Amino acid sequence: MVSSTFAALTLSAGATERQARPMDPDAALIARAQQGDTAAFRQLFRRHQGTVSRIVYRMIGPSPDVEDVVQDVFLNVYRSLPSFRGDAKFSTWLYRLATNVTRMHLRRGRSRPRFTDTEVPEAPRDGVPQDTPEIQVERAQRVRALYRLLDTLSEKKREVLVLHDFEGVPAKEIAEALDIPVLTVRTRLFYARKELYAALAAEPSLESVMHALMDKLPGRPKRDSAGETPSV
Amino acid sequence: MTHRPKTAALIAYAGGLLSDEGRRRLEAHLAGCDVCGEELAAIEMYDSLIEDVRSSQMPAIDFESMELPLAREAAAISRTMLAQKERRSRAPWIGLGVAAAAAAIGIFVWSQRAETPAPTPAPIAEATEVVEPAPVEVPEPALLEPVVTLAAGDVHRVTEGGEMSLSLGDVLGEGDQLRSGDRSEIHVRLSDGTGIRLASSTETTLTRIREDEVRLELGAGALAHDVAPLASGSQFVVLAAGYSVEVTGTRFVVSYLADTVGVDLSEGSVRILAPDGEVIELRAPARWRSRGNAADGQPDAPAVRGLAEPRIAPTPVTLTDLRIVQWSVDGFEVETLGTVQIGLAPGEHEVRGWDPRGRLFTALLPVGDAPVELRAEALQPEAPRLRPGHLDEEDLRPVLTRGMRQVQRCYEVALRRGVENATGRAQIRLDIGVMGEVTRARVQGLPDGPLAQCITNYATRWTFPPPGGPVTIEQPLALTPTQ
Repeated sequence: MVSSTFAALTLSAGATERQARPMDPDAALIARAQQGDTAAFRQLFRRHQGTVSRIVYRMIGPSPDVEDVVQDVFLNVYRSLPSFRGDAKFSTWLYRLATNVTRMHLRRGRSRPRFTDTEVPEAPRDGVPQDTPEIQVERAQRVRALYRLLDTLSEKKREVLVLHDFEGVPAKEIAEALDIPVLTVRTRLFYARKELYAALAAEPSLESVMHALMDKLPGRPKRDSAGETPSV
Repeated sequence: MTHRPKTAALIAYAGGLLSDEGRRRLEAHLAGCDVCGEELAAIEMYDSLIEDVRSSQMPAIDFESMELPLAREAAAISRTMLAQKERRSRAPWIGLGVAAAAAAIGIFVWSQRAETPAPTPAPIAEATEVVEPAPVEVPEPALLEPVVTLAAGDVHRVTEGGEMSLSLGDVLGEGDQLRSGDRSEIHVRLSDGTGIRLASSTETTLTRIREDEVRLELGAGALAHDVAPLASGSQFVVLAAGYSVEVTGTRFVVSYLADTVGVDLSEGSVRILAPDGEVIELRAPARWRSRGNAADGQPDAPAVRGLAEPRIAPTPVTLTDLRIVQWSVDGFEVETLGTVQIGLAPGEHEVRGWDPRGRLFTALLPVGDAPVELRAEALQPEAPRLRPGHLDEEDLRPVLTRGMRQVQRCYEVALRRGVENATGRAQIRLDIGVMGEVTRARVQGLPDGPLAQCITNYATRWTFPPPGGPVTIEQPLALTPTQ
C-alpha cells in the first residue's frame, strides 16, 4: 500500500513538470522512432534536413564535404535517438549534435574552413520585385566577403554567431546546446561581432559600401565618387 | 592615446535604443570621430549582410541520396530496439513489476479522475501529415556467419529458444546473446575474418552481423576485437551504456566495468558517440574512459592475447584440468577455471597449462579426425622450470604510481616517528606471479624496521596485469625528507 502511494505521488510530480514545459513538436515522431518505427526516423530527417544543412553549410562554408557532414549528423542523430530522454528540446539537442559533428569534421581536416569564391545563389523572392542583376551581383559579393571573414573567427565564436545571428536561435537554447552558461554565449557573441565589425571595416571589397554608409552618418562631410573627402 | 570605440553604445545607437540625450551626445561625437564612424558603418553593414545571408539560397543538396544509407541505419537501430524490447519482455519478474506499477498508476489516475474534473488534454503534436512514399527497398546484405572458435569455462548462449551451454563450432545467429562466467572466455570468428573475444564475466548481444554492418551490444564485461578491414560503407559498431564505439578497421577492447565504459585501442582508430551527442575520436595507441582518467583508479580492460584461428574442418579438442588457470595452445593463451573447447588441425600439438602458483604442466597432444579430450592425468608437471612472463612499462606504471603514494605515506609516518637512517636510496624488489599477484616483496637498502615493513606490507597487496609467467621487477626509491 505504501509503495503504491509513493509511486502515485512520484508520477504526479512528473506530470506537473511535463505540463510546465511546452510540448516539443517533435515529441510524437521521437516516441515513434524510439519504438522502432523507421518511417518516423525518415520524417525526422525530412523535417530537419534544412536546418541541419544550413548550420553545416554556414559552419564549413561552400565545400564539397557539406553533404557528407549533413549525412553524418543524421547518422549520429539516429544512433543517439534511442537514448534521447527529452530533457532538452529536440531542436536544441540537434543543434548540439550538428555543431559537434561539424566541429569534429573541421578538426579532422586539421585546417580551418576555406570559403572559396563560389557563387552564392540568390533566393527566389515570391511577390517581391526582383533586384537588377547588378544589385544581385553586389549582394552576392558582400555575402561572400562575410563568409570569408567568418573564417577568421575562432571555432567557439563562429558556432555562437552562426546559431544566433544566422539561424536566429535564442541565446538560452544555444547555451543548452553547447553546454555553456548564457552569459558566455552573450560574451562570445559580442566579441565575435566586434571582431567582424573590425574585419568588415578593413575589407577592401567592401570599401565603397563602407564609404556610402559613413556618408550617411549625422554630421559627416560627404565624399566624392572616388571616396576622397573634398578638400576645403 | 588611441581612441577605442564604445561598441556597445554604437550598437544601441544603431538599434535606436539610446535616449534623446544619449543620441545627441553620440551624434556630436560621431561628427569628429572617424574610428567610431567606421565602427558604426560596419555595424550597419553587418546587420544588412545578415539579412542578405538569410535571404541567400543554399546550394542544392542531394538529400535523396542520403535516404538509402539513413534508411539502412534506421532499420538496424530499429532491429536493435525491438531485440532489446523482446529480451526485456522475457524477464517475467520485470513484467510483473511493470504490471504492478501500471496497476498502481491506474488506480491513482482513476482516483484522481474521480475527485477532480479532467484537465484539458495537452495538445499532442502529431507529425505533419506526410503522404508516405513507397518504402525504400533495401536488399538485405549477406550474413557474416559467426562461429565459436573457443569456448572456455562457464559459457552460455541465449536465443529465442532459451539459454543453453555454448560449444565449440556453434554457429550463432543475429539476436543471440553470449554470456561468459567468471574466469571464462569465448572466441568468435565472423566469415570475413573478424575476431571477437569475450573476456570473463561478459554479456553481449550480436544484434546485427551483416556485410554492411556488425553491431554488438555490450551489457557488461569486456570485448576485444580484431576487426578485418572494412569494406567501403560498412560499419562495425559496439554499443555500451548509451555510448556508441564505431570502428574503422582496428584492434581494440571495449569494456563496461564498474559503471564505466572504456576503450583501449591498440591499432587503428575508433569514433565514440556519447549519449549527450559528444563525439570523441581516438587514434591508436589510446585509452579512454567515460568517467575520469584511465589511470585514476578506473578498471583496466583485459589484455588481448590472441584469438583462436578459424580452421578448415577442425577437430574439436577439449582440455579439462581444474588445476590449470591458464592454457597455451598453438601460440595463443586463454585464462579459465573450467574446460576449454577449441578446434585444432590434425597433427601433434604442444599444450601448456599453468596453475595459480605459476607451475607449468605440458603435454604433447596427438589430434586426428575424431574429437580429443585432454585430461588431467595426461599433463606432466615441469616445475620448477617456469616460463618467464612479461610486463610492459605501461602495465607496470599505473600500479606503481598508485603504490608510490602508499610508500610516501609509509615514509611520512616513519619521519614523524623519528625513524633513523630513513634517507638515501633504496629499492623495492617484487616477484610477480602468473596471475599478476605479488608473491614476494623485499625492500633493499633500508634497515629492517617499521618503514621497510610498512612498504613490504603494502607492496604485497599490489596486483599487476597477468604477465603470463613469473616476473621480477625492481623499483628504485629516493628517500629525501623535505619541509
